[in-house]
Amino acid sequence: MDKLLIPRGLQRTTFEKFLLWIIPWLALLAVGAYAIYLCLAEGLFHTNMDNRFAFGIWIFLDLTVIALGAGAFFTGFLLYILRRKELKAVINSAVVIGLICYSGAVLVLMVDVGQPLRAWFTFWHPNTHSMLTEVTFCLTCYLIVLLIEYVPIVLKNRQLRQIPKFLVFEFELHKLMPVFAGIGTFLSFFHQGSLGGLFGVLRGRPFAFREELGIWPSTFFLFVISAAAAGPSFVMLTTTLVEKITRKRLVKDEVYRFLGKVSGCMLIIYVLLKSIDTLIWINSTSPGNGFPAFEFYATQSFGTWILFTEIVVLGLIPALVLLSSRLRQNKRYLFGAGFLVCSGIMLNRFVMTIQTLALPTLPFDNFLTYAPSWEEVAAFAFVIAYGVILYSLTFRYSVIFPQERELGQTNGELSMREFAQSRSVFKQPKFVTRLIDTFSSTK
Amino acid sequence: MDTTVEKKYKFGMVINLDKCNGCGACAVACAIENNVPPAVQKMNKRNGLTWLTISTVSNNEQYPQSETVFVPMFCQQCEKETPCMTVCPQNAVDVDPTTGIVGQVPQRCLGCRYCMTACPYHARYFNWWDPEWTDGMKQQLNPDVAPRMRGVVEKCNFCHSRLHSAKDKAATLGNREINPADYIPACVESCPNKAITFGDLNDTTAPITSLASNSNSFRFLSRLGTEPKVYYHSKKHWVRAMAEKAQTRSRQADGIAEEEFHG
Amino acid sequence: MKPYLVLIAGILFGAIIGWFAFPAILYHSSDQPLHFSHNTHTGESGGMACTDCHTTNETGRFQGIPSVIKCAECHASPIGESVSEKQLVEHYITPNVEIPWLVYSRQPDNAYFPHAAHVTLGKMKCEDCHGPHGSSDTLRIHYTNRISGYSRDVWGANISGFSSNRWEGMKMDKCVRCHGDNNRRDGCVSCHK
Repeated sequence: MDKLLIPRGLQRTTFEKFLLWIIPWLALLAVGAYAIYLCLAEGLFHTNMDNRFAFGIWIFLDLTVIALGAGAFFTGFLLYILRRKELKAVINSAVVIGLICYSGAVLVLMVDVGQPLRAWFTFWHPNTHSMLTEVTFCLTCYLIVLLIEYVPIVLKNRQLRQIPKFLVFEFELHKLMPVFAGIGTFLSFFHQGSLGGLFGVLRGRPFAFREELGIWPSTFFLFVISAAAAGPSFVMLTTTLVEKITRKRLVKDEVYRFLGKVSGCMLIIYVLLKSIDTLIWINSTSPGNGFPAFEFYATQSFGTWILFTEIVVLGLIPALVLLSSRLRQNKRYLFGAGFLVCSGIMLNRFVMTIQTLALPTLPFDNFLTYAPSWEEVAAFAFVIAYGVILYSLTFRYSVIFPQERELGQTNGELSMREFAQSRSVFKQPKFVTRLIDTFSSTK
Repeated sequence: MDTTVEKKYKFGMVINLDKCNGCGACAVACAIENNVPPAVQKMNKRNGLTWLTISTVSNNEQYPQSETVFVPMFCQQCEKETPCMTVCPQNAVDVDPTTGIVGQVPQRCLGCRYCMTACPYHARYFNWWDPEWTDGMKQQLNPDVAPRMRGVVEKCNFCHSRLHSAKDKAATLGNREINPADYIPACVESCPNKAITFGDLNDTTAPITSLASNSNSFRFLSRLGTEPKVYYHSKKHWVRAMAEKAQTRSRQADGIAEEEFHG
Repeated sequence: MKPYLVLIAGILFGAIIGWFAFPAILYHSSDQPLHFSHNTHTGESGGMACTDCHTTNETGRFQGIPSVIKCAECHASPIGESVSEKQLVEHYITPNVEIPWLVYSRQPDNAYFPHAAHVTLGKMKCEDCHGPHGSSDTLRIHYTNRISGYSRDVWGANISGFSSNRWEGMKMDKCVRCHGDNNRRDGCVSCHK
């Protein structure tokens, strides 16, 4: 049964080994599900959040995974809109990662809010001034787009390909992909931005508050650009991680280098804009609100080192590495820099959420600390476990990496064209054969 | 049909910090008036429902110069760019155009807590637990205030139910305008030292208006530009300086104070 | 079978479920504890006004359905022949037990509706919101929403939510529409407590 589902011409590990890999993740999933149950059924007192630390690890990690999941929209944008064909090698992977990140984030958000059953209120009674409204609308729509983009990947499964109607459907869907990529880019632009705007508009939190450019605070644009920088790096990192785990070559090296270059380009723009933004904030916005900016860093455990780390160590340095074609040749530098990029974005999201809330606003108030409870950690572990399982299943039973066949050994197995020809013997309608040919030739 | 435009009030408060001795009667009255459920065992200062908190602020001087004030803190009813209102994704928060009171409708609230993040005064509270009253306490619930459910945000609304009652009373007599004596929030009423003055800031003859514009009156975080309608008043210079300076206390200062205490 | 026939049948099936089956399941119907005719009281024989029984006290608080003490003012002992009057006297007035009426217009906890402001200042008539309830001969069946616990009168008899009469339905939309028509400027807490 399992064998029949595995794509032709690809080597997959034995079912037993696969089970051994999945079971620990299933266990983690179960623990997470229990934590989620506790929070939903009994209340959010199971978390360590409180009235002062109203956002905790969930919002921080949601922002992080959404930024990392930006690879889906940005890769789609580069491939379908800017026609960078080499990205075909990773687009499926990017879509699956995007879907995991977004659905996971939405799931955690639903646990995070106190009354998840009222989530539809935002659609029925929207406050158009709220960044969160924009985030909710765009996240929901984009999740649907991601699901649509995920469908063709599922349909690549060997058994599903046997059904002619699915093939036709997949082909038609494939033609529409640029449209979805466009919609996805548009939606992503807005919600990535709005997630940044979420904090930039907080007039009551001078640490996060930023001046407006047009109708959006500057963090809106910083988040869009930083997500575009982090996305390709994360796709690069996850792909190489999958290569390590499966001990296979899945993607050609030049694709990695291209992803790194894209990431570096976006990151250098981000670092530049972030530096300008920080300078404006230090010299004008923050003191204008009665808060000299350096007081935020003066005596707290979050000193100026955090600003330095964010902009220089995890920003400028990886950007320069990724932009140097000589250093990009070295995989250690390439992936190391990619890791730094993702860490930098994570640190930025951490600063925007956790540090913002830890800093006092009232003059007689104190710096606050917060540590997540096991339920909060477990609920997020649920998302990670779910992601790993979904990715593993998709990888095993479908074709995520089109270059895998070419890079791996295909001895003894039929190629797509041969497969199509062999099938045409069995009274396959001609147009289906032609479709399969079209697909095969693109590979 | 009647198309009279209602009178525009701008309700505000002035709290005389020199008169406040931190007894906490206001906080108790507030909780009783507004059906705030009793604390559960695991509740603490940071996750409990306390529409009105009282902070102790010291001038960090040594005896005999050492002085302390108590600062009652609750929703400051920001008039301009009200931080919580603009961020709420589903219009559960609004500023009443006729009273200036920032209203919160818990039944509309999703519980995303974005407003709590936005509030510079930390005056919003989330129901982390299911509210539970004992049978005896249920009998004492105020019928004019709807109890809240778990997972929503609540906060001070200047005892809005008392404004409803005052309006009712006026309407029965055929009046559109309330008698100012009929609308007094519970904290104001309960203060034994009469430290809180409440009234309509639009009414130039009301005592509150002159008190609010007094040079010894100030507002916390006024430079944020949100125009809060709760004023504080103190003749002590260091108190006013404390409010002006955004961050006086730091971890370092706390450390010193503690050392002195132990020494 | 032709696909469009399936489609039409499906739509028809859905409509029937939504229109007839769903309300039947959603609402729980119960009779009032006692037969009561508003018409007997307000009609020619009674000649009473709504406000004779449904009063507002001096603080402006609407008193709702009167207590049996009010009934006892006339019905301390039966003044007619009817069975229900006998029941009223025997079961409620003599032992001084309140009648457990089911209120058609009961609103959620957080809704604040001042009768004084609407009736005294706004010059609205009872019929504007309560319809011909005051001249009815019998008390209607009380339909209780099984999910929310509120009377069907809050949503309105028409399941689609549209109503031909002004008094049908007592949802927030109605309040908002009328307040909008009359240029009222309200905040949420003007009508929510």
